[in-house]
Amino acid sequence: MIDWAAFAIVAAAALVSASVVVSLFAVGLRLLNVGRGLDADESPGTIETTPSGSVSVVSGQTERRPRWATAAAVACFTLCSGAVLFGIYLIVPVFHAS
Amino acid sequence: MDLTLIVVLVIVLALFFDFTNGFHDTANAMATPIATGALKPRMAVALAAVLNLVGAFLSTEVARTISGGLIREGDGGIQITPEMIFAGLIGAVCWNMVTWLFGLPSSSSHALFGGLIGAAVVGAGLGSVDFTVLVSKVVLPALVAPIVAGVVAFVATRLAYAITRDPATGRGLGRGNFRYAQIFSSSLVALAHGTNDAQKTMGVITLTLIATGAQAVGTGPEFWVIAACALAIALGTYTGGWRIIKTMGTGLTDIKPAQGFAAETSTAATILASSHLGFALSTTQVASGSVIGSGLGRKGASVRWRTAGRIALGWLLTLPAAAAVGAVAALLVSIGPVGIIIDAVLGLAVIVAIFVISSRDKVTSGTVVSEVDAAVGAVRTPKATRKNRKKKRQAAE
Repeated sequence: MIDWAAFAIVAAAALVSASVVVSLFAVGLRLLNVGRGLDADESPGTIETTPSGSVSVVSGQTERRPRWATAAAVACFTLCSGAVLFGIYLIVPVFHAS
Repeated sequence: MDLTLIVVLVIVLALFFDFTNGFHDTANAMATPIATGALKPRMAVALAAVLNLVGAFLSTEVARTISGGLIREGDGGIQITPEMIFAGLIGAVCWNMVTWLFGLPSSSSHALFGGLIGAAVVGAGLGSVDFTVLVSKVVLPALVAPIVAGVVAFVATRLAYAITRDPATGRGLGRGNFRYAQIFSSSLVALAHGTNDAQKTMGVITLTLIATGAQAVGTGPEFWVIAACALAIALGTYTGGWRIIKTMGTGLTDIKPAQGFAAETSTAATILASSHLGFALSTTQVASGSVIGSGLGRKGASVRWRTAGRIALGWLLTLPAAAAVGAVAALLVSIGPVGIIIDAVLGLAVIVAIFVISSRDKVTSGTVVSEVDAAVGAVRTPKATRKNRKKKRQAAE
């Protein structure tokens, strides 16, 4: 009466899709920070000093981001928006009604 | 077609249930973006309301099978009367109001099923309920949904933090920017919710219209029913169940943007996967599981298990409690027209009473935001231990 196989498929599909989307966006963010110093992070206003010398968070940009990194980041974000569109496709039955 | 008093009452009550469903479930999609500041509270509930409104018009598939085989209806089964639906709705609405008062995210669908089951048992005996369907369609998914979503959110949160860690310093890189992604992930959850939940009310009203012969058997919901339900759920969503948003957004764990995005993506993925593969998992339970999972996934974050326990208790009670109220309401209905009037008056009294009690300590968009500020302040404290929380609470008072 209980279809455990279907449960397993749901769990696996959710795990894989959520992991892929979150990873893609995270990689995109990481790529945007290639060549940059410390970012403002999530706790704004904290200024950290490292043992090797002082690095200020606010003016942390030490060098320009390489062009390939920007391109790769944009690619990641594009794939993420693709995932959102696929989600909408799944939600709206008109699109996949047989 | 003539609309008798009972049909009008059912329609009004069903629309009110739809409204409570809306404000109960705003939190599923919007608690996390509000908590991380990705969306301003008013903006968030407005967005969710619009998406619910749109979603309600998109699909009427769910509306056709509302009781999902739980109650043996049709040939050889029992005849569902408008009076039973009325009693069931009273149970569902009352329970939704109670859980809202306590700020508990509980499943509106379970409340509706519970109320209808209670009314059916009184009206037509225990045999009218298919208990194997109850276990396989309601009880087990309720256990599995939060666990699956929790594990998915845990993994996703871990990944998000691992990828954005600066290898040199171990600090986060650009994690605040997960906020932008949150807008999309939470919108997806809100849209999915709209295509599911407004349907149940449409189903109830259509069932009543068919039962009284006002509508042909086997036809789908009429346009005015769809429009009314869509408006009711959108209005409820916009009103915003701030109490439940507070519980989900700040009560379970302190949520940061990366966690919020991971949690919402997990919620969306789990719901879409399950509804696409034929399982209806409760949005509320999936979303709560995701928030807890994301809380476990971030180092240094702690999950308030006591709040989680209260929520779990609420889930356990939802079906039987709504069933009990539904059963009592059905008993009153069986007296005759007087019983229906007594039911309506008592139901109204409960609703008004709960609104009055709730106004003593109002939770509004403003209070939710100040709670978030308090939570942001708490992030710098090393750990939200019981002692620190007590201190925070005292400071807040």
